[in-house]
Amino acid sequence: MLISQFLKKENVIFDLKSKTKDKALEEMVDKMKLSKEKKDLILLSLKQREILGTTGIGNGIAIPHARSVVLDKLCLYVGISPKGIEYESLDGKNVNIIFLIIAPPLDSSNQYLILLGKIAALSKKLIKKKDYLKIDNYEDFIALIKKLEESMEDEI
Amino acid sequence: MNIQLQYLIQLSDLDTQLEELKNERIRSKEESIGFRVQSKENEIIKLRENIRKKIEPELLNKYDKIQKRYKMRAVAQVNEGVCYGCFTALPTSYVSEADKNNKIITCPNCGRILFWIE
Repeated sequence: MLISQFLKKENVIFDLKSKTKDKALEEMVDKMKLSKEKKDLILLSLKQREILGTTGIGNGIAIPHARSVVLDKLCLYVGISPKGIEYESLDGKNVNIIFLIIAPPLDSSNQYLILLGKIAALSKKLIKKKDYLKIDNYEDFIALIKKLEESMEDEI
Repeated sequence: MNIQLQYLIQLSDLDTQLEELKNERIRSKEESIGFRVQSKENEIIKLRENIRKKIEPELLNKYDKIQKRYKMRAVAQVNEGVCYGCFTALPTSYVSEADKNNKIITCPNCGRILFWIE
């Protein structure tokens, strides 16, 4: 399973306007091509997950994730904020990149957890590339993700 | 969409997440990734109660019974005519188009509350 396969062009936002966690989640969910009711339910599910524990794992990375019965397949979205978002992260630092994952309640092969693990590993590599925040187009971004994925494969 | 159905979905999504984090394997996977699962027991109880208060008692009773029977996922999605709670196809004319997501419909096989995703 490759992260890049889940990242379509419309799933990547380069210049998140929001300054806070709640607003950033709203901004990202709003981009989803779903009815307003479904978006509201997804947002609630994400916010509920944040109450169970922040998904800001430090070093400018956040991986909000939740399950919702309103989706039939796993979805991944990326939001980038060069200016940073107040996210109540574990290390108190602002967040520059958000990987947002929504999964249906039941996925037979447990793709959800596998994807979570892969994203956590990839994001740690991504932030070492200091200029990743300067990327402002999908083609360059997906090329970088693919390159990082390949290097991770080599390590295994 | 029926507002009561929306609350039931919200409750079901929350219960799914709570149930998952009770699962040792999933919890340790999350922690190994770097997430901290805090036990803010009071906040969670409050959040859950706030949703439950909005649901009509009769429906809540139904939800609790299903939840108790299957441990989780009292609300199931219907995908291409199949209940994803028990993976049984619904009878062809079981529900009219107009009633989908507008009335509270349960699966004739497993009894779960149904939500049409299409």
